[in-house]
Amino acid sequence: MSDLEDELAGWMRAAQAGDAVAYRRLLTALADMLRRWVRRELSRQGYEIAEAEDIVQETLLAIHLKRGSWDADRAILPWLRAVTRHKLIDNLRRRGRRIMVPVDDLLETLAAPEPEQTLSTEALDRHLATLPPGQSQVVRAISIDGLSPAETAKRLTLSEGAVRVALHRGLAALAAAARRSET
Amino acid sequence: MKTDDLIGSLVADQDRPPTSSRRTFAFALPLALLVAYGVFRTFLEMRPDFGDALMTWRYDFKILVAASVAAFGTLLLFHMARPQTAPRTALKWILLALVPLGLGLLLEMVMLPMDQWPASAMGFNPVYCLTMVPLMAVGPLGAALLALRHGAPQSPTVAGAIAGFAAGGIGALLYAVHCDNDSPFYVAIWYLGAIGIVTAVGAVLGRLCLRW
Repeated sequence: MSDLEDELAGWMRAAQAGDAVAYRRLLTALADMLRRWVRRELSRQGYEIAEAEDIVQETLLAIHLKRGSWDADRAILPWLRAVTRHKLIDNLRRRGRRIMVPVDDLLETLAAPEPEQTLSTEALDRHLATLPPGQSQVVRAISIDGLSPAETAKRLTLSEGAVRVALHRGLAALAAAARRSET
Repeated sequence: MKTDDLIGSLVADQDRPPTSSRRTFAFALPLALLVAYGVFRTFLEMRPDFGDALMTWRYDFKILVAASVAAFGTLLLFHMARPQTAPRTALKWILLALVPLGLGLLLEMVMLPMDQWPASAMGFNPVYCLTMVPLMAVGPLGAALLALRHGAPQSPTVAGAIAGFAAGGIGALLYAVHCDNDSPFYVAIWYLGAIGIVTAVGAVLGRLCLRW
């Protein structure tokens, strides 16, 4: 078993036992890996890589929402690969029509990444706007403003439990909105 | 939204362990069986010769066929809930689940004179069987689909079909307590037909509600 496998599986196990630091470490490492992988796949298949970050974000959401489908006594890398593949196929199917570009020389100009710029996307913000106001307020406060659930509860005069429920539903709704969208 | 911001919200959402398909099914199935029992009590009754029937190979085979579909279907359900599982592996499992039926059919072909085949295949109330098995499978199908919602199946349609197959097996097992058409011929046509109906319904529902 590889070091990467042990490290990722270890973080996920710790995360499922409630270790937030391990979970952040895991997701950050995965974001980097996914970014590299998605960009490579997209350019290899002749697609524009500018929207790779959208796919990275959607895949992270899927990994989070579906983490219950990983058996802690099985290897995590095959599971991660399967989730990533599913989301990439899902995305290409949805986007294929619009961003299909010829492979030839255009590829080289596109393949030069713009890391700083592409680490942020508008797609999720657009989907966020379609959520019920309560959910989008909570998701926005915690993600974009970086508040804790407790601080969010204070700001929106809600109970912390209500904030957590709204956050969970909001993230699930965000994933569903992304899935339904055309771009 | 920055990817780091998104990660921040995912970390904030990680406060309780995620629910697995297995756990969900374990909680939902008893409820589903209660609903199925309610259907049974409303429309059906236990066959009066239940004890004697248990002594005959045909009846035991019928129970075995339904139990095999229910058991393999449920195991396959958990297998399909994992994203690593290729949808085509389902076929192998389904064939395995139908082995008892195949054996029963062979045995019946040997035991029963050919001129009696049509009558035993038609039985007394095939339409009833086609109605009641799916009706008792409704609850289990709901439980199975709910369990799959917590999974990550590669193909929502195939996963939904497997949910229907498992639920159909459970429905058939319960119906067998009432039904007194025991020939494997009857079982192969009408029980399997009823399970097929639930499988098709499951595929459609899976396509609608299991995408992720």
